[in-house]
Amino acid sequence: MMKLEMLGTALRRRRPVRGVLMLIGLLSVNTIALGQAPVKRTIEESRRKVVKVYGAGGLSDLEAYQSGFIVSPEGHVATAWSYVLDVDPVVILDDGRRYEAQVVGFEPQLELAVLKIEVGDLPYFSVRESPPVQVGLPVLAISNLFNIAAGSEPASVMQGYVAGLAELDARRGVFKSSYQGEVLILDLVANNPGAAGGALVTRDGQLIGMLGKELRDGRSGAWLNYALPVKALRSRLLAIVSGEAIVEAPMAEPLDRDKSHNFQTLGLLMVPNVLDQTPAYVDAVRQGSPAEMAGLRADDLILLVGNVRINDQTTLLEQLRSMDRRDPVSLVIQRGTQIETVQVQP
Amino acid sequence: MYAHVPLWCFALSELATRTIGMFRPLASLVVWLVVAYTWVNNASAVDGEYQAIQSATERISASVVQIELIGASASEGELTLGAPISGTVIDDKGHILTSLWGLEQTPASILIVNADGSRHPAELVARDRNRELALLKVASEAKMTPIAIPDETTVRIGQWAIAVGRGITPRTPAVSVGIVSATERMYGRALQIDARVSPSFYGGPVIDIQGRMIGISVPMKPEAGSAGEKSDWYDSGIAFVVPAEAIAARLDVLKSGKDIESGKLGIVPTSKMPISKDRTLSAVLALSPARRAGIQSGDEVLAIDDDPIRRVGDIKQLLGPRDAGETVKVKIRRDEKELEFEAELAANIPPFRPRVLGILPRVEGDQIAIDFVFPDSAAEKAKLVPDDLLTQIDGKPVGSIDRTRLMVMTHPPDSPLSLQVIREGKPIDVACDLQSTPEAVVEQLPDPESTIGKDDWEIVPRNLPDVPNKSVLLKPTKDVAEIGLLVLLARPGMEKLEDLVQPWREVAEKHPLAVLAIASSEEQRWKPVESDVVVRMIEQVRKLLPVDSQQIVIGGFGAGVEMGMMVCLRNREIVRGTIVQTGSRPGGFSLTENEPASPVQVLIVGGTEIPVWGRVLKNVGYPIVQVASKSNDPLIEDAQLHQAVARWMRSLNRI
Repeated sequence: MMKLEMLGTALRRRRPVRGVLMLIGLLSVNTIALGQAPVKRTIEESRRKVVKVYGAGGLSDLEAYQSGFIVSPEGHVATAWSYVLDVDPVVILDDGRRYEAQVVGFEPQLELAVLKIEVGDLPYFSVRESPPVQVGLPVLAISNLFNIAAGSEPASVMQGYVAGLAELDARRGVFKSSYQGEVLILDLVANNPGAAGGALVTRDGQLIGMLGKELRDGRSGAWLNYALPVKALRSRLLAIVSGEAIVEAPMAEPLDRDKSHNFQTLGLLMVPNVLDQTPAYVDAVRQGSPAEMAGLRADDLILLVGNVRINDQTTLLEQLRSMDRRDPVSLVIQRGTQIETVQVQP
Repeated sequence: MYAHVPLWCFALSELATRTIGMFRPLASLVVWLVVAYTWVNNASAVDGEYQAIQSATERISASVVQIELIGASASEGELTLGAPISGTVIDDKGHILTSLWGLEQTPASILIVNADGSRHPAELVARDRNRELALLKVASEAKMTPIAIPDETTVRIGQWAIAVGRGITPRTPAVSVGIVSATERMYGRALQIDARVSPSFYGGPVIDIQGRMIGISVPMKPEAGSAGEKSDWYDSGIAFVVPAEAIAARLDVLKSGKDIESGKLGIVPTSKMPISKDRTLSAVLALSPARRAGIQSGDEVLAIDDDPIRRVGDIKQLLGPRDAGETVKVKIRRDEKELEFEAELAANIPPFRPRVLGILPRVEGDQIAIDFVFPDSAAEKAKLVPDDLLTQIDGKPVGSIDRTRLMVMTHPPDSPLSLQVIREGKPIDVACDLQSTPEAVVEQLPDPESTIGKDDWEIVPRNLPDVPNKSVLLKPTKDVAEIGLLVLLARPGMEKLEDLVQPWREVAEKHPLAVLAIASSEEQRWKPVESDVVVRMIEQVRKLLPVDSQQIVIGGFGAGVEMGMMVCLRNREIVRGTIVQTGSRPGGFSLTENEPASPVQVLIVGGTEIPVWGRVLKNVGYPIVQVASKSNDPLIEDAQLHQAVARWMRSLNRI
């Protein structure tokens, strides 16, 4: 235990425990493989479709490596869109063959990039179809996490289950990621340095997701283990593979101050914002203001704007600032023990 | 219907293995059915497992809710409190059990979020601080489906353990799948499972493969684990679960609105090693249940509630799950006689305040002699003089210096200490009214005999092979009999560690004192995990020099001050004191009471009034000593203060 923990420390000082787990994960796959031939075959076949990607990095402790998986017999490789691809990357196949790769398309909003290597007749994951995914589905995560697989060694396999499905646009600001769709939350510690772009497959080898970059949950600060589902990536992936490379603009910026909502536009006076996270209590409501018309009162606690949870006053203001001041604002408030929904019409 | 078949088989096959002895024909029939279905459907074991997990989760998912905490924000370790967690509905009257995570202070609002997204305000009914649980009650009439809480344990190591939660999203339950790794962990309070449990699962149920409740997920920290907060262990494969039967037994108390606290007895075993077979007590705390029951220091603990004590660790293991207000039977051996006492465990024992006699001891043969009598001390008032030999304390023969100090420290405040000393060959009985630790540093101490000269000192770099922290050590080049160790944690980004130790040279020669300055690994901050680095560096110096274990103290500069305090309070078995500048703002760690077995003192440098945090420390039993200084950087510039620090360090040896 001690020795493993030290190994973990050396690899990544900030999370010694994660390193340990990875090794435990590898061991448990062995046990499964012993008892069940299909899983063993899945591992053998899937590992041949997962590649190691090397590129830019090396500064400020950033790793210069990540993972990818082959999505066409002509050498298209799906991987995570990241700084690693700032230079033309090198792709190493599971048998050690090494190729200079070109970025042929990327989709920042999906955190997806597609590389092309000049080789044919490769084993690949079909992205046209993927099985339905529900909580509790046993999965294998295949990636070169921590760059443990050196040279011609195939990628590392970990086993676990789909822990949850989370719709991210309902939790805006939680993920510091430009991807805002649904993700598969995993119960294995899969998202370590280098794992981004790895494949998430079912025990019978069907691709269901791409492992994401390392991310912390913005609210709890906990590291997330997740994969982007194939169904979210499919249409862009297929489009890029078929030769049409379109790059879309990143997300819209918050609105100008004189065009957005704020406390004044609604007629809200909030309690003094003196704490680190002051709960969004209404202190008073201006007479004749939209807030008063909507029935808001002093001591109401604002819980939601639309479907965004408001934990503090600062979040509330951020939300209002991102809304056009001509639009109505839907609030969910707590008044005593009652929960009410109010529409504030400007 | 079709989809249910493999699961049904799965459940039956487990039943089959259990009942196989009793109903062999039925069991074999069931096994045959399983084989048949597997063959007909070509369903692999994987599918059966998937469906069994889904079905088990489905069975209880209506009883799992999300809990939002509004206005609860603080950081613990690398995590932030206040993100949604999970809760478990335990009856149809609106009671919901959850984890204390984020609920140690009552937040502005607690909201229960149901699967349909509806929110219901809840009130905090009671806390079980011994098990990290909180009981909530929903005010509204919303209909809830309770989980069944078994009141008997059926948990076996190796069985399935599925953590279920709705912290990630209220709409669908999330699962984390693993097995039971151990039972009776955390001093008998929790099960351990290997499922990766992240904070969003805290407060949710853990179930077996058939959907029966095993317990509730809570954050705890393995006692033997490294320094850090309990939440550092999330997703680690080491997760703790309060067992269902322990919950069932306490629900009525919690529902009545009564908080549950851990029960304290107030005994201090002689050995600090859990595996030691020395079951004697070195002290019994004043005003403790043990003292009221009649248990005395020197007693040997044989059993608690008829469970035998074989090693010191058994005591904590047996008392761990006991709550305040419960009565325990303690069987002891005293003077070859076995006695049994009943004690009602207390939530709080008035903080231990070390009592002092006011002498510096020295070993003389196998006896303890008085080396120095502090002015205005209890010892001086009792007319004790240097070279008196201590023979008896409260009618018991004197043991080691440490034992004697502990007996004096924990002596009840309301009665005098009776002492027998030998002076010029004659025994003399004296009664001493003990005092609390003086709040000022003694003005003068006799110069210790020192054989090391002015030039016999050097400053050498020290480091550990696997960490980037730099460090230097001021130490004598010749052998010394005993030496104090002052550890100084540098301001992050500080380059020249020599400048921190150089000013101490004169004092070091006189007392003698080794000074170890350590730099942080990063230029901006000290990280809590570096606590281990500091401890390892101290241990390294202890191997090099004959360090007096009573004289290891930590001070610092800038962020190093707070770090030093944290290292000291987390590593009391090693560090005896901490030096803190009056303007610092310590925090970021959980404060526990001062402990007789490893007491810690605090020296406040600068200022004339004890700062607020100092008063907090004092209230939980830490002796506070304050030294004024006019300097802005007293630990560097103020030579008089250096002398005072050295005298304070030597005074830590006081009995």
